[in-house]
Amino acid sequence: MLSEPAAYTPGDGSSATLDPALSISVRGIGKCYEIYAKPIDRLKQSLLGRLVQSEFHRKFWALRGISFDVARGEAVGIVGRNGSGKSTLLQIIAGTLAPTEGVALVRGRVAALLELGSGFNAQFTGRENAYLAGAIRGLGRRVMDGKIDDIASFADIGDFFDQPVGMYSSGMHARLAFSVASTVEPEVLILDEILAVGDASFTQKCMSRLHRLLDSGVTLLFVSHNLDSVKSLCRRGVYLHKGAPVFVGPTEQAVDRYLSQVRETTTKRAVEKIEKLAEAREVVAPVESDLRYGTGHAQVESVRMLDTHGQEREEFGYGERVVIEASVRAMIDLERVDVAFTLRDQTGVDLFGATAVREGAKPPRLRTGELAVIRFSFRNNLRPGPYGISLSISRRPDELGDGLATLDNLEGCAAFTCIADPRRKVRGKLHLPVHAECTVIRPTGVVRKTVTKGV
Amino acid sequence: MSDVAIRSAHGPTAGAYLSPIGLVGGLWGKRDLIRQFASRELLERHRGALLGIAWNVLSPLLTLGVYTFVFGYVLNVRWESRGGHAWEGMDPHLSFALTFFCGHALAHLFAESVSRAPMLVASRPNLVRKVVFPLEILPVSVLVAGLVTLGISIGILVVCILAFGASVPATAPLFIVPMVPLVMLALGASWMLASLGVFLRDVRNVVQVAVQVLIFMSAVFYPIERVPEAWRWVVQYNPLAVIIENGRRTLLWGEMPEWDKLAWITLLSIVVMQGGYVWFMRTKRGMADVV
Repeated sequence: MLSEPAAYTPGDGSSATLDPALSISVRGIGKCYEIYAKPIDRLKQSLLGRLVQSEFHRKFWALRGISFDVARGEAVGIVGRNGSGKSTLLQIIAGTLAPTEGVALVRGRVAALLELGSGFNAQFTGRENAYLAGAIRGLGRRVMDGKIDDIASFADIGDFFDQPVGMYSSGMHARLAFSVASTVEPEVLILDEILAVGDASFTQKCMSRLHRLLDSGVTLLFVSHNLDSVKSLCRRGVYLHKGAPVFVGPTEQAVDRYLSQVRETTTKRAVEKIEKLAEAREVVAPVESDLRYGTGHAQVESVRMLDTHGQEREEFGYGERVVIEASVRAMIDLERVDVAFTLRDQTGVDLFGATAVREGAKPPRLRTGELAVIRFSFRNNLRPGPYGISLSISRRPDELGDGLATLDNLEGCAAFTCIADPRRKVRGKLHLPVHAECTVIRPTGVVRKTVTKGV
Repeated sequence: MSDVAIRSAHGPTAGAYLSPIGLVGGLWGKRDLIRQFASRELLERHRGALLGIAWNVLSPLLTLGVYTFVFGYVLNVRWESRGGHAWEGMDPHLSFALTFFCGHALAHLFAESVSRAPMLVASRPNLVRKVVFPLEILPVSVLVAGLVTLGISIGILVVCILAFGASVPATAPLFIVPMVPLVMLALGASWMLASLGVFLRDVRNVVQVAVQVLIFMSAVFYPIERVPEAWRWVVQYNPLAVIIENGRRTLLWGEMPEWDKLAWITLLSIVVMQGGYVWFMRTKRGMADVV
């Protein structure tokens, strides 16, 4: 649940209260980096700032006007480009950085992994750092004695656990840091890009532990450039752009907004180069979708989910063929057009997709006003549940790599449900063709029987 | 229900840190952390050295030897015989050595804490920026480690006194009386300097020299009586000198502490400690911006 935070009235914040259902409340937070010419100026500001009118610095707002509430046990992802203020926000909530304005209320024990390094002492061994981290968070030696084996085994760094942390690789560092932070019984866990350095198996381990912590009621604030992990962990997202909150709401939408902005930036550059395309068009046919963006030089006029007989369908059984039909109108003469779709499951993870060009159905040169109808079809090997379709019309780059542009992009413009088939259970998210073989060997070593099931 | 932490532009006002009871209570709650850092302090100092922790005993012994030679033999400094009959017949070089050593151990506690202070926070950006760490415990840990060293030195001193045939006076337990203001002064000064060291890199250089001067003005190497009349006030009003003098009175000479002087110094040291603490806590929030 993400509700609008209570109106914030500036003050010293000491009288602020936190609703018992909430874990974190961020109210009008802003961080102004005061660029000091000399460290002494920072001291002057601390001591004299409120007495003297003159200021001892230049100002740069890294973050401003951020407000949101996080319920207990909720996971919130924060997305945005580098320098958008994500880390600053996390640092303020974690308490390592003082905000310039506004107030953040945080309930309970906070474990934060902010960037790499994460507060370990390089001369201390991994074990000592673990005890230290416990002590910082108020867990005594005896409590930590009971947890230390768990920390060591989860970090899985072998003898390095008793070596000074200064000798660790960045991966080992991350392993230990995550292992400690997730074991010290946090009520609020703040993770900033920590999974980026671990190897695949460790990332897997982290994700499953994070899911477990979330189930047990831990509140999570999560920053990662791995948008799939953001989507699979967090139900709500905050999209920051240049220190301002562009969007607060369902993670999927936050991520889509973020991606659209990233793509739009690329597109804008491409469009500016070619004057022919520079004239943007109005949307002619409204298509229902969660989010639509693009230059509009080619536009999706309709999207339909069909079966193989051309009938519109909303539900598909296991093994049936699913057809996605998109009608695309060219608003100007266009070359190198491509149409792509992406299939997204209910947790917001993009499962697969395809582009017309890559699948061998390259659209010809389109003339103004022509309608191109593109059909994608695939066998439904999906796990039962609702699925969403996103469509994207783009202009591919030329031989020199220039001119890539998103002409029309529709997130969540079509949907269907895959219905359960009791005879066919799907392990994981979807089934791919698998070859199976079973060989039975007698004690003598002679092969008795081989059973093969082809793809 | 768990506590709610408030992160806002302005931390608690200075008033929140004004109570000495709050100060002690706060530190007591972090004793585990203090202990870990203090023991690290003691172990780390000699890690990698061939003799390891033995240096904690060896280095005061070496100090004792060197200073005894230079001041006792070369410069021939003497304390007038104040040990009563217990010290009679003791080699004057030896009695100088023990008197000097007692004062040196006390001065060393203060000097070590204070001269380490400017770099304590400044050299640990990790603890300032990456975790919510009670930075105020760092000077406390150094002091606790210093107290352990002091304990070892006093132990050596007592062993020497007994070994050379003298006896430890009955007033020895009162040694704790001058220790109280010493600890508080060292803490207050350390907090102040630890904070200043973050914002003002020059502090560490100034402190090195200032500590030297202070030690020389504290009658560690010579009896107060040797200071010319005109300048004696410098030493007499130096709290460190009074503390050292009283340490010697109680532990070596079997005299009662100078209660009136110590009372004033204790009052002063409470103010210094509390002031240093308030200063540190007030400036702590700005540290992440410059470390």
